[in-house]
Amino acid sequence: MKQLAIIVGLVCFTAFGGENERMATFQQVWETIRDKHWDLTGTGVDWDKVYQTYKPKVAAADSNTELRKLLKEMLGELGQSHFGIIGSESSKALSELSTVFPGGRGVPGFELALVEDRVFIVKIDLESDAGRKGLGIGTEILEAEDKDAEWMVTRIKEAYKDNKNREMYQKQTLNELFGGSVGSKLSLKVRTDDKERDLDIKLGEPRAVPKQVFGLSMNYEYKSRVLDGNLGYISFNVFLADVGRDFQKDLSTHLKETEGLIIDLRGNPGGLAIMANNVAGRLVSETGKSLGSMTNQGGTMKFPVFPQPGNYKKPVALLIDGGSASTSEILAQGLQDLGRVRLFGTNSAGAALPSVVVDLPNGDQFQYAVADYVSTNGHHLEGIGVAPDEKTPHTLESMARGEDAALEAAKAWIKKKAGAKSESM
Amino acid sequence: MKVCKLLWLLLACTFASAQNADEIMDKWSKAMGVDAAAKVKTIYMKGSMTMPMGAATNETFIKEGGKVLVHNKIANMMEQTMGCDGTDCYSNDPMGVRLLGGQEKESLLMQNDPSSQLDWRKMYSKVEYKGEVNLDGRKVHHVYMETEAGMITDSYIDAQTFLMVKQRIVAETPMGTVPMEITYKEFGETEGFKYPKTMTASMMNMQIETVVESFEINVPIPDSKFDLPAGLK
Repeated sequence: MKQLAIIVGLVCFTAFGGENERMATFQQVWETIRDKHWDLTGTGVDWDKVYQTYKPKVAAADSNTELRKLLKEMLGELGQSHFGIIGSESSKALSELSTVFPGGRGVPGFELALVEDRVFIVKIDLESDAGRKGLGIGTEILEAEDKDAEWMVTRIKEAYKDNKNREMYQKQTLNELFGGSVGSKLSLKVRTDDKERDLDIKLGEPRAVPKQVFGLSMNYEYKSRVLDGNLGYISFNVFLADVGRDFQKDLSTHLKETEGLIIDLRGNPGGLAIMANNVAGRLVSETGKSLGSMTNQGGTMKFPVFPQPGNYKKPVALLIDGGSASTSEILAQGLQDLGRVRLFGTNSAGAALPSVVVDLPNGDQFQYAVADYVSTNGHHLEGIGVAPDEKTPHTLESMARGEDAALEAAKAWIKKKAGAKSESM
Repeated sequence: MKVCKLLWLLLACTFASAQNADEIMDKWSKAMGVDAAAKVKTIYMKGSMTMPMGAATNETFIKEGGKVLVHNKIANMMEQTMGCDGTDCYSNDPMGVRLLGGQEKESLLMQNDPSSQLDWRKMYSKVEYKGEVNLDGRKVHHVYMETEAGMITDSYIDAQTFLMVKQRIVAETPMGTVPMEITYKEFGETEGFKYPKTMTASMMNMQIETVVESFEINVPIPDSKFDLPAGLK
């Protein structure tokens, strides 16, 4: 909920859209691109001419809605999908949500996702109060704190409707709603196996380890286990230096002799970019490879892969979704280009770049990237995301079966690969 | 005859340019205390680094014979160790552990061992004087230098003090061709040997300021300090 509060804080200006404000807003957006774009000349767009074209149109605009349309059109001239104007209406929806769900560090023990605009549990901690009370993958949340799911979903969708990375923020916000004080109760109405019931669940201590990175407090959660069929499974919620240590330990101990490895990057918003190189170095054996390159105004830098001693050589599946962003995307796209992994799930967030969000004079916000990432096969990810090799979203059918569609598909693929290998031996 | 004259002129120019560059580099070397450097067997430096993502600490151990150990640590976030055992150099950072070669190896030695640069004739295979220029209101000598492995450095040396003001370095690394600019703001001195005390490195639009807080020479450092990491031995 902390993030909600920050976003609300950032957009809490009221838009009363005077003519001067609209012109100042236009000016700021145009100047930001002129001054901050990593390679404006390379776009082939005459940005001064763009200014002359749009200035009279903005002067004639008589509402913020019209201004937004013009700004989006102007940014569209760049032919790149790295920029977004976020309408100030989003703050109202987030404020309403934070009034009912004040948030806190306590966790419900499950992870939620929107499936066809309905709210379902897609991951469960069986040792949590929710897990012990029989909630599991496929349980639908019908109400929370006497607010029905539709009320929540409508506001979450409204809040991020203009956001380029809406799927990522929607998922993060949805899950943050269910946090609260540790030990407090959360009242729910749920449906499992077509049976509805009301229950209270007790919010638990987060299993994550508190960390300070770039002066920000964050929780690091890393899990690994061996699944049925001797398949390794690793998930972590953020790319910190600890990931390298934990990977190394696991790949040299209980995951070493597994038939294949599933790395779950769903909901992982990124972190230290350099850790993509680290993880790749534990999976790739060939030297001289890279995960792509990043360009900003200061130059271009590759993401080299340095194969590490004792690295993992069996099949590797990565799970991604709209919550996988930044470093997760660089790793996923980079390894996909190298042919080292197979990707399952849904399109990633398309938020691979360091970006900045600034307030605009009319109360809107402008999100712009300050660098460009290109994979070795030439994929630009911003606003597009990484496409899985096998699109396996959560569906109403998979929820009804209580299954994690992407995980099941990844397991099947690895088993097939392992089977094919043993047959050929 | 015209061709001969041109060749002679060209040779004469090259000679004059080389003379000038040698002279300036020797003056720089002297200003930094090359005579005192001859008595330096070991160096221990401790400092701090300020960068956009926070602060870091730095420790550097140097021993004659090309032995270097650099340890950078961003608290609660990441660590990097780079070193040379006199023959091989390595980096152990969040990208993994690996041996360094070519320009990366040269760069590690040059940027961390202030005494090594003073023997510039060994360090650079090509040195050219580019002339006197005005840099931020100061008159400086612009010297172009190239190493055996091809690392290019444009050095700007103060015309009065002969101390280094700025270096623009273009090095080939596994990360690509990375241009870097180092601005030297302040020099410290220990027993007649000067070292850069405050410097700012700019790379990829990011600035890192390093401040050397302590600088000791000829402190005992065991050779084992410079051993390669286990995985690389």
